[in-house]
Amino acid sequence: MNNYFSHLIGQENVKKKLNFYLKAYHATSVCPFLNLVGAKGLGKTLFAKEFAKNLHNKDGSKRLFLELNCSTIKNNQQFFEQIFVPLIMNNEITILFDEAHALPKDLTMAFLTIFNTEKTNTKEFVYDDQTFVFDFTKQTFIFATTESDKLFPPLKDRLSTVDFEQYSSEDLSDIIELNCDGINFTEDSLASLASTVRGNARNAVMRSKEIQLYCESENKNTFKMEDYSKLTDLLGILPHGITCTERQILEILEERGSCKLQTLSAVTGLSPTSLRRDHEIYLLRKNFMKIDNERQITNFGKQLIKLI
Amino acid sequence: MKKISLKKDGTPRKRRNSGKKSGLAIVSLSIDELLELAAQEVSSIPVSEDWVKGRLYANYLANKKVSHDFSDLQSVEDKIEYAITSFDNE
Repeated sequence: MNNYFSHLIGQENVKKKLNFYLKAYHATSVCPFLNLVGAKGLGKTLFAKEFAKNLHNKDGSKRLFLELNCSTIKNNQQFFEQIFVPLIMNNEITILFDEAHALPKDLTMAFLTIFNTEKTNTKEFVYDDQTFVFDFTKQTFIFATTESDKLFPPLKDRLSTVDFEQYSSEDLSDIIELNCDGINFTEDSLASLASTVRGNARNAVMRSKEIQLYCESENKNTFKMEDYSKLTDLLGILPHGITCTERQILEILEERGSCKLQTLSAVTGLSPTSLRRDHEIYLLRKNFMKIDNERQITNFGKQLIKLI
Repeated sequence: MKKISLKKDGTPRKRRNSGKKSGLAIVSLSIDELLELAAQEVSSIPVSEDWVKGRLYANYLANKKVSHDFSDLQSVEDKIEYAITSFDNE
């Protein structure tokens, strides 16, 4: 089987699934409605684009790829007037609905009808006394979201979900190396760099750019551990890529033993919601803190504070 | 007219003063009459606070309506953001 994604790093299950759908598309000219689900920075848009690159029109030319941010769609009328009629209708095109959880309610309801296809590859949708024809041999629809729980369940049922997984340290090291063309890394410096990108491929690409800038300004083509120390000092990068607020939380927990969320909120000046959603999750994921009625620092967390 | 009640000694009972008496009597003048009077070296004309507030609110509503009619602004706000990639060079 062709591997259309061999040049991309990680996400082996996603690659397998998308390869399968591409093979099926080349045989039938139809692709299921995909729903790419995963945390930010895992490569949903990149994979959608690579997938779209391999879809061809009936005359063999490459198919256009339309990327929409759903939070800018206000209602049905606006979608059909500004997007469907001028760009989609009668055209061969792939459409990515990014941030699909932000679709307006009336368009979500319309999609329930449009994407309810069991046997046919076309669907006629009547809205405002006009008929809009969806031809799924010409048009491929892909959805992507970080908040799958906010997607209307009946719409989710009509889509084929492709789940993205966290990148391993090795994957992140490979991403950094791939994006730093012409720079050699020592094994320890590469592993240390990978540990600072918080499991996020987009962060790894951004870190690569910083490394390139550093190497150009220092006129180096080998990146060693001493360069890692210098770069992290210059950019204020903390071990494991934790932020200043996360460090502050760990310091408070170490000083006080254990704390209630309300206490943390009072000391840091951040709202309990912000603490829970934005600052505690990474510390919990990395086992630097735990919640057992009260917030507590773990031994890993204590070791991290000593490192800083 | 209310009935006057008498005390035991036959003198009329004093009445309690009820309610506030209005401070200033208000007269209505046309703009022309106002201008005629204003011409006589008048630097300012006292008006009621309520009248000023009422006029300010009316102006606020009028301005707000104007900005709603500004269709260009409306269309910019309601544009759907999108990007098209052709892959022709890849």
